[in-house]
Amino acid sequence: MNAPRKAFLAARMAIGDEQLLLLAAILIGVYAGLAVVCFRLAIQWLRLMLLGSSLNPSFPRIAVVPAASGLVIAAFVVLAFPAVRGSGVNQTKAALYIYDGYISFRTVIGKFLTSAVAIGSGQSLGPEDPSLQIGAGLASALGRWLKLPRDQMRYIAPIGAAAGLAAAFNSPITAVLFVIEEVIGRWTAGVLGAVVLSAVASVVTEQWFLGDEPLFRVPPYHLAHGAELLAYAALGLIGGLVSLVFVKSVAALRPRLRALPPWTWYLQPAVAGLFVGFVGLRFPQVMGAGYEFIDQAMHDQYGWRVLLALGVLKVVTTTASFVSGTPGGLFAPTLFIGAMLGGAVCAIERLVAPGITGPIGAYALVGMGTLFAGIIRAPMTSVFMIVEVSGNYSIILPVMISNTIAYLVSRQFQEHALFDVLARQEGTVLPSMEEERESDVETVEDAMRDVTGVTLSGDESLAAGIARAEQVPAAGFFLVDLGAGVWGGLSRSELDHLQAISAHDVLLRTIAAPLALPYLYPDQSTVTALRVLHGRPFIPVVHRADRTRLEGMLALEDVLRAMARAERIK
Amino acid sequence: MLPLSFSTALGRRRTILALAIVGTIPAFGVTQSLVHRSRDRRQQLAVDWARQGQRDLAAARAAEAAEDFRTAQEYARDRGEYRLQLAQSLIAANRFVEAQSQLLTLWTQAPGDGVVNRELGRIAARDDDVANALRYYHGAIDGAWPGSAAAERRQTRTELAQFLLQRGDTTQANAELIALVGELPPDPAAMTDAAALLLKVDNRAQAMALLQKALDLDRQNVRALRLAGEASFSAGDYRAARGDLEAASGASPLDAKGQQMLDLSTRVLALDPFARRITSRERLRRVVRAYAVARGELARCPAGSRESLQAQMDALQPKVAERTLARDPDLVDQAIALVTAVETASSASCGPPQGDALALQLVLRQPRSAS
Repeated sequence: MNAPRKAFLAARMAIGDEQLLLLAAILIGVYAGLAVVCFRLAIQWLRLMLLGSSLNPSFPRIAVVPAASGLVIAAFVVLAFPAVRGSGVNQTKAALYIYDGYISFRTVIGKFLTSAVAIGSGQSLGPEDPSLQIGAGLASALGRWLKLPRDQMRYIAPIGAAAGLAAAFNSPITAVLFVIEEVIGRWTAGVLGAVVLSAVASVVTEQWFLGDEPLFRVPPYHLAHGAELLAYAALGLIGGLVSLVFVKSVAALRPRLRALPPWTWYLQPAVAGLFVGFVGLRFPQVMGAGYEFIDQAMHDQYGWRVLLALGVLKVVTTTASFVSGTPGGLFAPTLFIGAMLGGAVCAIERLVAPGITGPIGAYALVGMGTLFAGIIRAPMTSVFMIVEVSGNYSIILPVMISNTIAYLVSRQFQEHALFDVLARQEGTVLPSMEEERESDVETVEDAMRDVTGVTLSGDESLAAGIARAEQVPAAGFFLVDLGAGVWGGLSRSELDHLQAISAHDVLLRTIAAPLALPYLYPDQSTVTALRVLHGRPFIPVVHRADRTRLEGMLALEDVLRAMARAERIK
Repeated sequence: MLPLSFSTALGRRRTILALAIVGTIPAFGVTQSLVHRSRDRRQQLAVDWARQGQRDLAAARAAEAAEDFRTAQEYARDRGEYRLQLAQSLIAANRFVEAQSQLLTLWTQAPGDGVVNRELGRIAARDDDVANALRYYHGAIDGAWPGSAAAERRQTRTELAQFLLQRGDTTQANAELIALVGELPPDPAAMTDAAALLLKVDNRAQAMALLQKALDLDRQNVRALRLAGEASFSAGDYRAARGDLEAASGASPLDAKGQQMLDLSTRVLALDPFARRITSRERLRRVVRAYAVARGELARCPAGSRESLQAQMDALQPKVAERTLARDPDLVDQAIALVTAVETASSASCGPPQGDALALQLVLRQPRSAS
């Protein structure tokens, strides 16, 4: 091949970094989808092997399997895969903010194996968080092989996490929202495209093999009566309080168990398994992820006492499994607890006010979102997750009410969200997306100064302008209205200089026009203002609907003063 | 952003991308194989648990059957038949709320499924939820059925009519039955069933027409004969009633009610002085007999309530003879008027009549034309 032709082909076939990231995102989605399918198959296979095919396993299996599996899991975790203990969400965040996108492939394998054994043997944990981490780990590996640039490599783990979570939940919107809301923290166009592509590719792959069966078969929903919303509000309150109990239990027990002598780490999952098995003798529903029993709760298969007992016992068993260091996620248990509490609220309401009570499936569904909002503290995800898994838009009203109340209750009495608590316990300081979301943004309006007396007309002569400027001796800078929303600026020293060298009847317009200034709007952030202020003493602040209307003016020291004031308040 | 150089990074990336893309083929193959095995295993488990459920259901262990079908359904979530069987075993275990919830889920997936709609209709009917019963029963009637759809639809409409009858909504029940008549096959048993319901909503004309059709197809249809006899009896057509009931009794012994109707029909036909196509002499003989029956009935009444009528009867008694009545037609009218007055009085205060007295009551209460 001759050189020009080779160069021509090279130019045609060259892939830019952005296109490469998008292509990689699709591949990550496909591989994450395949991995999650295999992960689910592994859990199902282990469940059948270890606990049998009945939904109510026999006594010997329940008594022995979780505890014995706990010993095996502990040996794997302590000796071979120490990194699998933590939360997949936090490890993905750590890859993003600390390790430049690095997640060890060994962790992926370890998470796959140990989580599958844990969930398959009945430990009260779910497969979503491991799926998320498996996706993130695969993405990290592919990114390393592709030698992606550092800025893209950082984001590769969240892209994989979205793919893993989307396949686990069979719901791409939830996964994208969760990763944006809880891991990345901002809507960056380039990354968003890759996150969406990977999530969609993984769901398509997963559905290719497992079909498009929704996670839950939800009975038809309708709001039986307006007053029913009060029951949903009560569910929000109860969900918020239960979330608090759960998060505080995990936060209190986890470091204590971790502080015990290292030899106990080999026994902790087994003890947790023994406890889960003990509870499972009477309530086998609390074992494993429990999706089949969520389905049953949605179909009115339990009375309120059983629902309440299952909700409470799942809090206890999940706490035991998780704090013992057994790998596995909290998403499915969170949904389980929520479904049971929601069902219990509905069943009790039905006893008290049968005429205004809607179907139990709706309460169970809203309960899931409520606990998700209370425990995971991702309010947007919690709302859209319920809409997506139910395929029912009309349920959004009770979901919003209940989730908001649970979220507020949880925030009121628990300073940090669960994942932030876990990260702090692991000694990693990761940015809290919740705190970032809620940090006050200083605006130009907070910092700008009054413009009374410091505006000059472009149609005034230099002499008139100087005369007006002398009336405000404290002012050092004057804005000149050049008409049509254009503003120029002259400092007092410039005016003094012009007085010496220019004709006094010259119009200010002619002098200030070349010095036309950019402008800011009152609602813009002080960070934006800093960028615009670069090298300029003052900037006019104008009304958004009418640029001729001056709202104020801003100098660098105004911005710094406002920022310092905000920091003091914080 | 600059394109990557052809020789180094781009070359390596392209190779890895190509490998990753090609690698999806074996990865898909392996996963497909695992999924296939897992699916087969789960399908087999579903079948096994469903069989166990059917065995439990056959042995009247409905609660255990429900658990079996629940497990089967878990292993084949996309198979609605297990959820339906679960719902049916829950119904058999009298756990209607749970069954309804399962059925509603099936309904959202297949709102036109006849079986699901009928089960939901039955639960709504049991709960006396008229709106939903109508909705789901009609959904079943218009829905899709496996196998003999026409028979299932007729059965469903019949159930709906029975539900409406129980609620006393005869108008709506009649409308359903009229629709049912149009769907009936040439089957005497089905026609007789429908006719029985039509009689309950007082649609005698259509009931009789249907029974006649049934009898045209099968002259020995005892039930049709009995129903036709009863219907004729209720309508005061004692001749037809006696004919049908006698034919029915000839094929199979009548029950007590049927036998009583036959007996009464025979008595009415023998006692009725207003009957057509009888001789004058026979008519007078029947007037005399009716008078005697009325006298006997009056004697049954308690003292204090009969004196006036008794006196009138005693006064007229010597004149009530065939020969006397034949000479004086006004006497016939007097005698009949007095018999009617006695019947009215005795039915009000002397307890229910029996035998000829009851037959006389039926005769006197029959509507007659002015002629």
